[in-house]
Amino acid sequence: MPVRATFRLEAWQLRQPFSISRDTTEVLGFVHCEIDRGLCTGFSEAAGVD
Amino acid sequence: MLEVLPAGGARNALDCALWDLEAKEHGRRVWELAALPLCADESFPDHSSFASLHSRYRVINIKLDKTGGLTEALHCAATAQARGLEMFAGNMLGTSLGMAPAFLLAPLCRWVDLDGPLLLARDCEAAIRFDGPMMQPFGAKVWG
Repeated sequence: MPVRATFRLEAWQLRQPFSISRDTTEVLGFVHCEIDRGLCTGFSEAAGVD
Repeated sequence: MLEVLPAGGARNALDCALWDLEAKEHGRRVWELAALPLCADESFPDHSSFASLHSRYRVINIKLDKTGGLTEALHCAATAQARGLEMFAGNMLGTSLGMAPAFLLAPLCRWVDLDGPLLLARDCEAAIRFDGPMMQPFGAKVWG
């Protein structure tokens, strides 16, 4: 059965700036993934780690 | 000292100075004397980190965005259990969809910090419910 994977980059606004020692983030970027096989679809989301 | 001095700055000053003194007298650090668990966070990105993990760490922080998914996270959890290490489920921020897989580690972890969705202006449509700081179990519409 064929499998189709689609990915898209998303940007989500934070309630307020999120600060750690290294930097401050106001918008969170991550990858949204969908994998289709037959009638079913699996979803996931992953944030980047640098 | 707890019986002699009331809570407040004076007792704090004496108490912390005594902790520091005792540590220096014993050639150790205060966190060692106090038997506080030291958690490997940046020192533990994935399973390969066990090879270089310092014996002083008693806890590992497992983040799926660092392990590269639930599969590796479960592998890490199994190894941590075998080594007698405690676990902390952490996150790199994200919606409920990003937190849901890590929630499966919760029964294995002493600490669970998957509050990413609470920091967003809005969560995804199928969202995990939080009652205050408590995450609630979620259905398949969220994930899994």
